[in-house]
Amino acid sequence: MLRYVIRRCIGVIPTMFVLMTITFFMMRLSPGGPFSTNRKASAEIIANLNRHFHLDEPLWQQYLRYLWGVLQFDFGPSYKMRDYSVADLLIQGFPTSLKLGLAAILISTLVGVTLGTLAALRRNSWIDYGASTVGLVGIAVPNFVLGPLWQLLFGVMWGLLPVAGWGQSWTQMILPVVSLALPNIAYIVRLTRGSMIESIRSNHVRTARAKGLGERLAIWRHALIGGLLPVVAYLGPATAGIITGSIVVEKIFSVPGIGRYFVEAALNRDYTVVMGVTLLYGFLIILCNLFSDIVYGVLDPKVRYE
Amino acid sequence: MKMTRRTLLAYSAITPLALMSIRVGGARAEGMVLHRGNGAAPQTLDPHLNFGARDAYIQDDLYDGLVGYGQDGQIVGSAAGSWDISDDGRVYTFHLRENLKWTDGTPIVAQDFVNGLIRTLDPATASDKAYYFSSTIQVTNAGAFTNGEITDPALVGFAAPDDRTVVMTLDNPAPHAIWILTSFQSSPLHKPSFEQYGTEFVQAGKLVGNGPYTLTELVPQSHLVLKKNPHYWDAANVKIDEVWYHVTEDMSAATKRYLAGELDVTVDAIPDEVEKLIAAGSIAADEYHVAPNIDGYYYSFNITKKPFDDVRVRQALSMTIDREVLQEKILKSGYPPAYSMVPPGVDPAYPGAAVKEKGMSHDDRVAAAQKLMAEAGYGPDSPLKAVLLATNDNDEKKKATAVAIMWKKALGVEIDLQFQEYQAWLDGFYAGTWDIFGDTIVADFAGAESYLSYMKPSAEAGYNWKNDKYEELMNQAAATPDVTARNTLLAEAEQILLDDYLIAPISGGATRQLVKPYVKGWIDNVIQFHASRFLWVEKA
Amino acid sequence: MSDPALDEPLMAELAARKGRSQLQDAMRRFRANPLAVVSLIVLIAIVLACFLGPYFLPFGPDDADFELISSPPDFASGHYFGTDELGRDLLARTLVGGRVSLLIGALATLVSLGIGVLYGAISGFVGKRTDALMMRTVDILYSMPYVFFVIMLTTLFERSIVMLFIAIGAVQWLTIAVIVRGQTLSLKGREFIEAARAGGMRDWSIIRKHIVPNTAGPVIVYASLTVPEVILGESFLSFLGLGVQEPDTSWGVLLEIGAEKMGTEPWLLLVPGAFLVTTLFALNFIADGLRDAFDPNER
Repeated sequence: MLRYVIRRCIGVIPTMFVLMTITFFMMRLSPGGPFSTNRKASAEIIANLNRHFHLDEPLWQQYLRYLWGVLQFDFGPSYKMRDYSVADLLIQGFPTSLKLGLAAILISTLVGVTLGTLAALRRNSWIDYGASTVGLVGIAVPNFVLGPLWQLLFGVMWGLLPVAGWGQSWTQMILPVVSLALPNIAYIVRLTRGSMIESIRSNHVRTARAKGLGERLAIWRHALIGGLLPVVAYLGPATAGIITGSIVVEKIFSVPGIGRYFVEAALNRDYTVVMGVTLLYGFLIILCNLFSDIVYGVLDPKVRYE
Repeated sequence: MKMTRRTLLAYSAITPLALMSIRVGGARAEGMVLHRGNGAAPQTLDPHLNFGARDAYIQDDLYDGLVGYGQDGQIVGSAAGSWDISDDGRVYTFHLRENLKWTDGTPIVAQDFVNGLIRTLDPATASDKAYYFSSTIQVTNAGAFTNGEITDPALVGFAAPDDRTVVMTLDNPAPHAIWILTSFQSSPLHKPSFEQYGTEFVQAGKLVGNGPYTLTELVPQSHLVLKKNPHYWDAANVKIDEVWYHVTEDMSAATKRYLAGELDVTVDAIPDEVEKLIAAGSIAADEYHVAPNIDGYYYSFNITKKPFDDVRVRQALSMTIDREVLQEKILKSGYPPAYSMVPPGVDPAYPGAAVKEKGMSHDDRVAAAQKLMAEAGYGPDSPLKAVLLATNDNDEKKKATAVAIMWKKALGVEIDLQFQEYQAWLDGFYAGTWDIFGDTIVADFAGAESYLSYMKPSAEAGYNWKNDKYEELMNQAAATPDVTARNTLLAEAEQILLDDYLIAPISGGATRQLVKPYVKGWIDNVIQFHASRFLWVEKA
Repeated sequence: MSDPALDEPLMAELAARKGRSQLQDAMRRFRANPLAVVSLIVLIAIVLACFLGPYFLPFGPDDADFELISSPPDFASGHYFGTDELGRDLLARTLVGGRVSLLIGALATLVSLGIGVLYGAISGFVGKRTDALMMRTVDILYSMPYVFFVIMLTTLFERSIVMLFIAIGAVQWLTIAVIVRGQTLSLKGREFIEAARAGGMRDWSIIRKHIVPNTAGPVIVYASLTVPEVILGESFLSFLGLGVQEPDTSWGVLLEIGAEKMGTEPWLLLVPGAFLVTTLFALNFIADGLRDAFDPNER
């Protein structure tokens, strides 16, 4: 196992390199550029801007320049947020996204697994249907509908929570965390319920029962582990996604996370910021998937990584 | 102001849950505090780089230019208490006030202002607003300096003959020049901090300004906190102690924050949502401020493509846009419908021009348009097909869809609607993949010239439009220092542009804001600047 | 041979040979589930309404009436579900929009399911370098900036429904692949796979006969979750210029407009929302029914 983990860690470097290269050239194939926005500026002014940011060089040279920078952990300046470097933006925004995302993933895992297990144990009971409904609402009603609704109810009408904002009070975290968690709760409830039912009926658990263990213990030890496997696999990419923020939630609740850059930087052709968030996300994806593989191996000893 | 049952009714259609409602006031800091919603996060606080209006609102509080926008949006002296203009309209001499200080208490000299202006033009700064001084007004040698043709800043038409005098020399008279020198355009440069920190000199903790406020906290994508600057020349009249600029990207969320008392002022509002809140009594009608601004919206025709090289086709399409229905019933934007390139209400001194259909009834317009189309060879049996390219902004989409329906109904025209994100849309403009282009202009100042000079081939080659008479009139206007005579020439030029239907005007723009009744000193104006130093809060 | 797990596929094989196929068996069990059957009927009704309904309505989806802009549901005007911001009948638009949404919801999900299951099963079963290579490819595809991918598609190709499938399919199969690979890893260690191997069964046959069927449970559940994601995600592609464009529409686009207007014109959200939610509930119960029907332990 340890050797496997070490090998995976070494594998991060080529993976990131390929990701960086593909992304770099894909961005440049797209129309538009960071400074074409201003139609009134003269060609000379645009040329000044391009020269300033080395965008007038041949593409391969720009690529090498970027690569050289990345090797020294210099991710370049932002073309749009001119007062900041990409590193500044990520260092200031990522902790916020991480905090929100970890809270959301924790809540959704706890609630999702609990509801899903209960639903599986009491199939076709009101608990089951209730859990399914919560799950479906979380998926079918997107954040851009639920978010404003929470704001209206808790912020405007009942005055219980701040409508939006960040950094003045911990209560400002509640609504964004709930909004982030809900769709994930839905996924986890459904996945847990499905595989838990399978797992309860499976021969492992039957065998365990036959061996005379108490039913409760059998369920916990075997069913839960068996039932959690798909959830663990799902949580790998889901965690990477959720801790890098969501543009919808960030905009509605004025949360200063980095989720917005995934869309906005791309729309603004802020190439360096796109590269920055892509590399960060890629790194987290690799990390989370590795972590979920390890958890997988721990939960199910039959899984062997060669 | 009560936030009770009636707000609920306004929203009751979506939630039957909310029958009990309690209004809880937000806790507030000591001293007079103003919470302003400011839309998207500022891109830069560097006054020599900034180009966007929302960043400029913040800079208006942080920096003091030679002149500034007054409470009513008119020009007032700021760092310069007074100024003289030479008879030929080419030399501006600004006299600085006494004892001007930076926020760190050190004195400001005239050279600081010149340094700031030169920095804007310096190619190394790479500021995309350098064109203000090389094109919008022609400061001597500004263009050559920006283009790198000359490198000696002393040759540029900005000079500081002594510590309290700034002189600006223009190649051509420009009555609007004074509008180009407001706070965020002519901010001085604090050399010590710039030399120490480089472009990071505008970050919180490093920024040394000269405005009524100083930056104390900045959380990117969240908020900025500004505190009153005791060294400001007019500090005695600055009433608000602390100003918060909140990032509020979602307009509807901003309205809710306003309702909940988290914001005192919003930067924008959704008209129909606000109307509903007003009808329900949650917001008083006078809290809603709608004022025309200097944005312009129009559809451009691709005159290099058939049949849009035919003025009859362009005219027929322009005539069958029902501008009033579009703005008042469909978009509910609060934008004034426009029949001219220069939107209505921008400059009261400008006589204006109008497209031919203004004053005709809608039925007459349709009849005339059908006739024109028939002459051009199009009718029910041979419908015109065209590609309309617009941005993916929701209002732009709705507008284009509605206009396409209008054209279909009146002329049987079949429009292929294409919506693209901003950059691709802009690329599409130059690629000429469109027949009709959903276009927009944001003026540099509240005057006709800002719109009309943009249509010259030298300013925007993408339109492929060249009219000798237009050029001649524009050049003549540019050489005329007298405002009235200049405006007459501009109006004549605009009429040529409109008669040629290079564009179909759609509407002007408007700023729609919510302002709490306890915020005093707010005067709506076309420039839409409301510097915090003119405001105060008066809570019962 | 103490683990009964080994017996089950054999039992199934035997059952199949007896003439009563697994499929028939599953169908019988599905029919016995009333909730699933009702859901199936509802789903069919919605599909029929979307594809045939518009022909029976008095208003076309593009017929705009500027006199009746944003009018609430009203029987007098004949707009039973109200009109949109251009005075077009909302029911007509919702039904027509459902065509695109149901189509991509179903097809994109099936395609990404197919790719994801095969990819995950192969990666997990073959293991070693192949697994490493395949999963790192997945990591890279996950991380690529999606917006640029879509913009590139819009630039290089004409807007079409096929491009829409590609843009959606490109990401949707990834999570399925990850889940199936995990399941495969855990199945691989089970005795019955080893037995099948020992019995001379080829890898490909094992994947097809033993691995894939045994991952059906989570896959069906995940598929029912993918459908709403695809339907809602399409509106983002429309925003980027790749999805459906006015005057055409889809549920995703209608919902986005509706969400913006939910404070003032709630029917714009509620009408398409009701269709979507009903469809999802139906799909959910059908998925549960299918899962139960195909569960090898369920007999």
